[in-house]
Amino acid sequence: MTDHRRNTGSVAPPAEELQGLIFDSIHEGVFTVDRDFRITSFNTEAERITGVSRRQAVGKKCYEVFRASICQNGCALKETLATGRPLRDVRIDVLNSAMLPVPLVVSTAVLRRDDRLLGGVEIFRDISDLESLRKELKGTTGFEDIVGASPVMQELFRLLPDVAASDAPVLIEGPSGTGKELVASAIHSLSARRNKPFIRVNCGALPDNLLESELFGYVRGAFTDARSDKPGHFALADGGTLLLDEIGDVSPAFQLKLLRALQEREIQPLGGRRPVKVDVRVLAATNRNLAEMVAEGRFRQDLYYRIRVVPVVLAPLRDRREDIPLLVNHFIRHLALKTGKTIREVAPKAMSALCEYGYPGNVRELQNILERIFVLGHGPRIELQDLPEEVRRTQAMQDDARQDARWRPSERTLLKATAARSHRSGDDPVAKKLLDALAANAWDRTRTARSLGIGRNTLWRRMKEHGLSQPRRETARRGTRIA
Amino acid sequence: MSEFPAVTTRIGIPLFGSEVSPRFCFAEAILVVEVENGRESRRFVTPLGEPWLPGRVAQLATLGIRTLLCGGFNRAYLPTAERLGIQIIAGVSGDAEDVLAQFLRGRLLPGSMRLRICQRLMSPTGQGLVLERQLREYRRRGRGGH
Repeated sequence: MTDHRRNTGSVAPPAEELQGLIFDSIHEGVFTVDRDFRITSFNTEAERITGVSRRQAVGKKCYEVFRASICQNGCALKETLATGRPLRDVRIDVLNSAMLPVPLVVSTAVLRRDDRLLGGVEIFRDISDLESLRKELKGTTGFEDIVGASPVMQELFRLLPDVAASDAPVLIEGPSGTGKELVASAIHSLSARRNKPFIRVNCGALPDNLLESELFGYVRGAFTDARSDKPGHFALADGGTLLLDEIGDVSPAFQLKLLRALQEREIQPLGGRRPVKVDVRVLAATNRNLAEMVAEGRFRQDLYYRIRVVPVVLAPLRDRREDIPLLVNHFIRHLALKTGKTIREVAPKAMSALCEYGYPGNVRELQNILERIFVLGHGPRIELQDLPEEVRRTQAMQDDARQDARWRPSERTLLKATAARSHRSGDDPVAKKLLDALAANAWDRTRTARSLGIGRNTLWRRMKEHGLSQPRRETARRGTRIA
Repeated sequence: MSEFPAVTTRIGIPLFGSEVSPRFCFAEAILVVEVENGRESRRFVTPLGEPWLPGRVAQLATLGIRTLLCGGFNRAYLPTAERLGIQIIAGVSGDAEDVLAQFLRGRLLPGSMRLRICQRLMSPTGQGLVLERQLREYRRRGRGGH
């Protein structure tokens, strides 16, 4: 040791300090408690995961800091202290200081000195990334999986828990690729039916007779190939939720059958003699304008009102561009985990192009663009040249427009010129109104502004915009020089 | 006789033994305290339903609870509670009786370590301010009645 110090010229810190440094450099949260479950130490990663500082945490009871799902029933540390046996990889979730849930895996052990029980230690790991992948693989999504910070999405987040808590039918409307199925899945997973099946049926993909047998099922002998009874999706979803996707594509004849099933809450399998009662919450989704279809007589009004007890409308991505950076980061995180590639960020120019593109295919299109980049790209950053041509073309067009704008007259100048032309030709109603008011007030701008209910400066600006100036013969307000 | 009508409200404290539950969603019972003109008039403890937050928030509304003093409360459900007219004061810990006494004395206001969390939670909707105003109102009306 002495030789080592001499060689490097450094002095090793005291053992206690070294332990502290190691404790804080571990990429797992670690804390210790005494026998009364009061926190005695709390490392840096624990601070990061919980959002609670070491100063605030030490001395508090561990459940006051962690607020874990197992604190009240089945505390892992309590069990370890009681039995002396360590526990490994217990899956729990805690609420951080912002009251947001964080999934963790925890392991516990007892702390002893000379056979005397000092307390316990808990080591924990944030598994948010793994958890989101698991959900994706399983196909279950909560509304925490729907990404967006725009006002429309915030409103959706406010609505979803209430919508889920009720048992009313929901109609989810929105263009293709806006996440209708994700919303339906979130409604199901937030509802009291969450432990029962969630079944999705694409009504647009099947002809009437097949759709009928798929939804309502059939009994043996109902038709030539019906060799045994087959339950339909309504029966399979009993107690759960059934999503009727693309409901706008259902034929008028089948709409009537569907209406009966929804009204009576019972179905009649093909070839069956007796109706079967079903307890299913029905969600419907469509990218068509059903109200318009009702007005045109292409969709039954009674069915429309039956399924549209709670309407949820999803906006196209171009109408909520502020969500694009969030979505990009969300997909990058997921794809990096899924593919093992190290793409972590997007160059500013590339992000700007992604934000300016129109996305006719909405969020799904954005997801596909990023998936393609993950397949073909290798660098740690997504550059402008990695983007598909159609996205780059939008960016180039925007650049051209900005370049041209430098040489073109400003919009205001154009507006003024147009207004002046209109005024001269006498077809500008705003200019006419301004002129009338000015004339009525003998071109006194203070009185005119007051009579119009606007400020003097606003009046002056509007006069300029519309090319209005005081006629020479009326320069003398009191009219002494007129005549 | 008071010039003000009696102000009655119900406060809920989810329990973990005699302490405030660290997480509302997993508490087994709730202490419901009826407060009239700033003073406790009646109380009872009732079991909570299955550990499912939307159902529990609905149960709070059914019990007529206007203010919930609790440890953890998943922030995703704050808007739901807000819509049902329930104020959530999260980040509270300690003995339930002490917490209640402090709240009724108007001492459980944003500022302490616990309630800095609560203040942050509530700042977007100004709920923290509503609470403060409401407490002042309780106290004012309480004095008016005597």
